Amino acid sequence: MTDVTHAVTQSALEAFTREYLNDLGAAIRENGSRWEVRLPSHVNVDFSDRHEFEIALDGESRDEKEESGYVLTPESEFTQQLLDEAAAMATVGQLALTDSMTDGDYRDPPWIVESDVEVEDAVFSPYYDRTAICVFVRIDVETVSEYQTQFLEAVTIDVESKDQLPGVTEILVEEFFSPKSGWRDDIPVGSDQSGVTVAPEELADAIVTGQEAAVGGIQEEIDEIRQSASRAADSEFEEYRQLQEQRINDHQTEIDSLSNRLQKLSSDVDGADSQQQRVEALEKRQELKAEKEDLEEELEELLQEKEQGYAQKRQEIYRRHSIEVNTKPTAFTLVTYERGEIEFTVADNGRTAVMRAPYAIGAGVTDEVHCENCNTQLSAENPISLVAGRLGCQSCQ
Amino acid sequence: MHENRPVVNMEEQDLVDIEVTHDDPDNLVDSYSSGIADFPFHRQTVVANRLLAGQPDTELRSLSRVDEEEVKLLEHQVDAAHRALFEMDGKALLADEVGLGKTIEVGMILKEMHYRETDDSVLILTPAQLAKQWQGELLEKFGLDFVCNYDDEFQGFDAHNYIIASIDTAKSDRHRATVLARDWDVLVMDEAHYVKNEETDRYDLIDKLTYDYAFFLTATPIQNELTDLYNIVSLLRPGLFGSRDTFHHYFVDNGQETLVNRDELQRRLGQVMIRNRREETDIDFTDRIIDTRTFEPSAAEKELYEAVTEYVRSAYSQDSGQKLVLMLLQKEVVSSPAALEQTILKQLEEQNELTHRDELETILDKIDAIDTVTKQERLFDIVEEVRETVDMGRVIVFTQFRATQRQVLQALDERGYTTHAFHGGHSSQEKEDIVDQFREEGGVLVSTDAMNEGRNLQFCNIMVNYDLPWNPMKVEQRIGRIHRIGQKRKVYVFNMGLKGTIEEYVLERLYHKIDLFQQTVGELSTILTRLEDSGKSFEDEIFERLTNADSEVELENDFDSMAIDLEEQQNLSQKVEEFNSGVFESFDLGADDD
Repeated sequence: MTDVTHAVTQSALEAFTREYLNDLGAAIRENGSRWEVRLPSHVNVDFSDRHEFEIALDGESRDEKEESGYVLTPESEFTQQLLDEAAAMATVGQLALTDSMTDGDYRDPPWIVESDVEVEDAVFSPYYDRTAICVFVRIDVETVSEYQTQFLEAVTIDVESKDQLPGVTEILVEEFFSPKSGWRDDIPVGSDQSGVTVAPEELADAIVTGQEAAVGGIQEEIDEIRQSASRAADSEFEEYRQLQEQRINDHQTEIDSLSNRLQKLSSDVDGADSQQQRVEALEKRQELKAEKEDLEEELEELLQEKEQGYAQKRQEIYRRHSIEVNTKPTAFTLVTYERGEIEFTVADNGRTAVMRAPYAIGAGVTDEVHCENCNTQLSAENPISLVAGRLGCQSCQ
Repeated sequence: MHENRPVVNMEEQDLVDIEVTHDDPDNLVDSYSSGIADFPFHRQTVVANRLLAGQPDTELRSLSRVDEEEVKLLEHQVDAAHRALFEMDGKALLADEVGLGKTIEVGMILKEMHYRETDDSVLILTPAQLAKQWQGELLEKFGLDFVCNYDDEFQGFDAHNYIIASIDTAKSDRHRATVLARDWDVLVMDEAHYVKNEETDRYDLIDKLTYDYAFFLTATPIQNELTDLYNIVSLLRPGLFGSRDTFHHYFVDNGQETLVNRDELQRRLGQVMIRNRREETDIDFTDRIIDTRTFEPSAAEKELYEAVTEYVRSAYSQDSGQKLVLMLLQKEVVSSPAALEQTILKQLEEQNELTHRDELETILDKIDAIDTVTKQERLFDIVEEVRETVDMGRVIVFTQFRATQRQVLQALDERGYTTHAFHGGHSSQEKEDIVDQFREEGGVLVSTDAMNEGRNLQFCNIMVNYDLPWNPMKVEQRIGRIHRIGQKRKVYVFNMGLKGTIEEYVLERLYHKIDLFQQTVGELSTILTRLEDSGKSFEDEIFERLTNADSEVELENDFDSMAIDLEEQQNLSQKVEEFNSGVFESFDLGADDD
């Protein structure tokens, strides 16, 4: 999975908007920081009910009296509308990664990269096409103590094997989905060139696999948010605990003082000069008694809560601070890619040898490869070696 | 649509739960079934998704790097920082009402600029009394390290890139040329209303300074007349109001001296000025209860006090060059005999040809004659009261002097109290540990004024001023350690003073007169800045009065007149406040509600 969020800079926005309007068939006359745009009459868009309008590239250059213009800046309303509209426009696309697109630029496996040999030549022979989807997953991470955090991850999953193909994601994001570098339209892509079909269930399975993998891709960030949310919960609980302790103290003090006053009232009752005084003192005593009983009851509850370590409150606070991670697949690209075999001609000290491996365009070497000599699995840690023109690996040579 | 599928719970001890839900992919599968779009449109969709998920480039990106333990940012402060940076292109007049945290707003702005690396050189100009406070706050709260012109390491305005200086130092003949020779990235000016007058050196300095971004702070942009507003705004945005005459013609009703064409004025001011009002924010402080206790000194203490005061007076009249050390003695004698003793011994050791050797030695004898330290005994009363009524008996005792601190700690230890010491000699990790221990174990924390702003001490709500700084800002800072946003309980402030001493004068005649102990954050700095602007330093004033008075009656009268002066400044600043509130009442210059 790859993080594919792109900073909303002015230049990225302008590149995007120019291309978007062009694709809609619009004519744009760029005049400094203002664009005059004319849309074809058959095109209807949500962001504008007019077919001719002006776009200002900064807030200042818009003539305020003129209401026919839009402002294209990173936080403008128009930008938001435009992006929202485009983001929902064509959520499913398709393209084919073929040998002809790579210009002979193949991905060397780690067991060659880490070795002493050099690749003199590589020849790919396609055997058959495979299908994968590159799914774009929006992930929202939410907790009460932090700003909501949003991620966009891209994951490519082989529809059949459910393997992840990070190399394919990389090619797609860099070559086809970068806002600034225009995509090379000489490349044969489109909906009609492969005729591939995928069963809906299979597709749904692959998308879900992609969603799960996407969450894995931001695990570190989630862990960090979780740590800080837990700290926030902790300190909220600690504050609560201290407040309760204080209340317990306050209650105790108040009860003590009521006891004293009650005692004094008892002697007032005994030593009353008149019946009226006696009645008043008795009434007061009753009132204070009730007050004291209420406080004692409350204190009892507070003490019970304390004895249980404020477990319920703790749970409540922790629950409130819990983290919600939600994934939403926003778009996917159906990718057909060629699988076959690659033949590397490798050289060391003037001697060459040939090495074959299963290979897929965009994905690189797809399966495990073993040493021809000793059958140990090749890897970055156990790269190939070429001694006296004989191929082997680090383990056997 | 929000159907949730597999729920994953990853519960671990002491960590909050994580709940992961995946939205169903049905919509996408349906889109696929109804036909795949042409690639160029699909590309636009993916790119739009990427941009929607990306951060707009006008976000406070450093926000997540602000340590919430050190500073709790309020919504109106974040909004102000954001608007000043992105809507006002980094030139703004921050004119919140008093006490809403304009320094925090600037801290946030500077942190963001630092994050974006647009702050190669920053100059902060403040009134002299506030420079060190600015320095401390920016470091503690935002991790921004500035050099202050009062630091030993300060080597001039061309030698550092992040400088806090008093505006008067910057405009002085010695520094003016170097200040003006630089192109500053950022200029911050606190209490900006002091440059309102276009005919002053201060105005001239700011007018000639070269800078890309500027943030001016004042709660009262208008001091005397509406032209003040024109002058300040014109420094930030020349031309926003046109010429001085145009401004007058269009916005000021000359007969009434009131503002006219208010809508237009508001529209223009809104491009450069932010003003948050207290009532619109959620700032709320708990009550503060002040308990000032003065005690009769013992005969021996009285004798010592008189001897020291007499010595200070006569020494000062002979050699005013010794002012600082004499002032120190006068402060120490009411703090503790231990503090005084230390300084006198040092004096005797350092200066062999001391003219006052005999007098100093007599003072030492008088120190020896003291058996019981009255204040210390009375402190026990307070600590005992606190222990009986408050959770874990937490109380902070502030003193200005390390020697006093040691003596108080020792006395408390001997009586079996849990104690903690905090002073400037600790490393920052140690300081953190001390505060943690105090939180956990309770008891008494005896601290010097090195306790810095950022420390989170809201868990304690009782403090004692064992002795009193002569600088009211320092008193306010002490109180501010516990009486801050986040304090949920009433705050109790105990002041201790010895009767018939300078302490009693400062406490009762000055501090209580201006209601110092009840001042909300920010009010005091306004009063003091006014006082400073009239060329007076508070500490000097107190000392001069003490040493010059010939009789007790004269001394009392002197302090009374100083109190009247202060009250006057206080009234004036309140009036100016009210006037500004009135002028801007119908203006919406704060953050949007939405």
